Amino acid sequence: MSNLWQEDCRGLEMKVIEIKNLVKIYASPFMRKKSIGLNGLNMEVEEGEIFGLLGPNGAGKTTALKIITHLLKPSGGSVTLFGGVGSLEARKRMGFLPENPTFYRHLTGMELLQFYSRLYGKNPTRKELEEKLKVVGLKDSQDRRISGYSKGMLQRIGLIQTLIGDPDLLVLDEPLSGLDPVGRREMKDLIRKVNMEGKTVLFSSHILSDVEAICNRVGIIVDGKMKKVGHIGEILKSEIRYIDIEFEGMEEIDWLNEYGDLKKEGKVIYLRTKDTEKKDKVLKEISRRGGRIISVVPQRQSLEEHFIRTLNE
Amino acid sequence: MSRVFAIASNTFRESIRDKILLSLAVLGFLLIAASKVFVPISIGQQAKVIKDFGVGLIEIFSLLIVVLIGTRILYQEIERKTIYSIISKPVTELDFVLGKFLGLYYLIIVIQLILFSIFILFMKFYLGTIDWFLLNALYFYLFEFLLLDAVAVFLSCFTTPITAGILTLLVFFVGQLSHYLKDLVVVTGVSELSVLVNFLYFALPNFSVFNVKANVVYHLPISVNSYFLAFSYSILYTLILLIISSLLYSLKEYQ
Repeated sequence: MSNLWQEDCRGLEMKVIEIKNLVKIYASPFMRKKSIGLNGLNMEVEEGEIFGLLGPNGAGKTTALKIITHLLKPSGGSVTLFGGVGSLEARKRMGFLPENPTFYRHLTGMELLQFYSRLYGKNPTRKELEEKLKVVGLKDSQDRRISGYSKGMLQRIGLIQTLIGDPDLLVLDEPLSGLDPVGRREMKDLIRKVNMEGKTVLFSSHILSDVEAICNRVGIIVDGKMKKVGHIGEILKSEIRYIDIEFEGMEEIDWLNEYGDLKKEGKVIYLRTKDTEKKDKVLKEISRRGGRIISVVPQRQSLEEHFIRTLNE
Repeated sequence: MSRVFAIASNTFRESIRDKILLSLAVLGFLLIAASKVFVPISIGQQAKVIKDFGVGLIEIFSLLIVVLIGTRILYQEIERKTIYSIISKPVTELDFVLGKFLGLYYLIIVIQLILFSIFILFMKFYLGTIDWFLLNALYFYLFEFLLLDAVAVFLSCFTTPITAGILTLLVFFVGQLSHYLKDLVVVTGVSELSVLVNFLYFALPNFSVFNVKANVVYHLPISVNSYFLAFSYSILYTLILLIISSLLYSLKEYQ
């Protein structure tokens, strides 16, 4: 892309993925039984964001990712990638990490990256690939066969192979599953790092705290349909469950019982109120009666609570 | 083409590191050792027996490689899900099928050359001379197994390795006898067979065009037409099979 073109595009939010009314029906040629993988999915992923795809098992997350990456064919609807380029061109600009990735067991880590590089028509030096392996802590294992790699090592080399063609978009299917806490943190740091370098990331996960930690936007898929999409902050901001008010310097507090639960620890009094609209009135009254406000903390619902509530809607 | 060659060299490397190839190598060693038993009992016929045995051994080995390894190379990619990281990259179905096909073909050529070299040493050791006319057999084998490789790849597009292996063997043996098929109707007098026989005759590859074993062992002349026919027939049939295979692959989905 020329600099002039980059200048022109600055400020425009290009849609890297645009999915409209996507339907996927799994049908066996010998059986009448059909199952619906996707049932009119609509979704958009914008350039430069980390989009998290959430959903229970069988909701259609992997199906959607596999259609985007050319592994499945849609039964209906449309998938537009990078504004409408062809499938081959789109795959040049995309890296995919499948769920529970498996790679050629007969190859070493280094040979695997050399092989995948050649699929992009590239021929990087051993040193260049060593640098990539170093980033994910696999430099010392580069000459070991993949058959001897642990689950965490497979996920890490899996992520590196998605970057081998220097893609604009990473599609990661459950990249954090099966990793220990350290591995998960490293993987999250890597995802953030590549995103900072300008790559768009679409990933599915069922580990909600991780999604909450790294995504700009999330989409919740239920029964093959998008139930909710939005920025994490917006979704959770609108869902304040209660407010914790901490104050001191008041003896008479019975009047606060009507606003919520009261607890007294020494001189400090805690009020947890669900009546968020009356928060200002309560604060004003406490001050008027000589109380000193120590803190006011709105308690938002977690993504997990929001997710479960969306499923039940 | 770099993608095709990348897939081909990976397939070749995978096959080289495959345990089946190791088993075949052990089998080959045992067969060569067994030939020492046959040679002394055929007094006066040593040269013929050694040549016949050597030429036959290369063919059987190539056939085993196609049936045991060739029919699995595509299936394994799907079964082990390694294909996910191939098809999601800028690789077309034709690249993939062609790469797998060529990878197996590299293996066949290498094995044939190794076996032929061993065979030459064997001749030199037992007969004291090398019959270079036998190189003609190698020429025909190269095209015979190019075609059989394509048959195995084609069959494994829609069957399991075991089924593809059995069918490949059948196609090979029926194809060796296809010029007798038409005679079968005349000899048996069963006219109902003619439809089936005609279908088999035209649809199945005719492997008898590559059969020059008797010519090379007994030093019978081989016509220029035979060389040309083996080359053109093999290339054309192989191309057709590979194009159909890649079309079949483009319909596949990877759940």
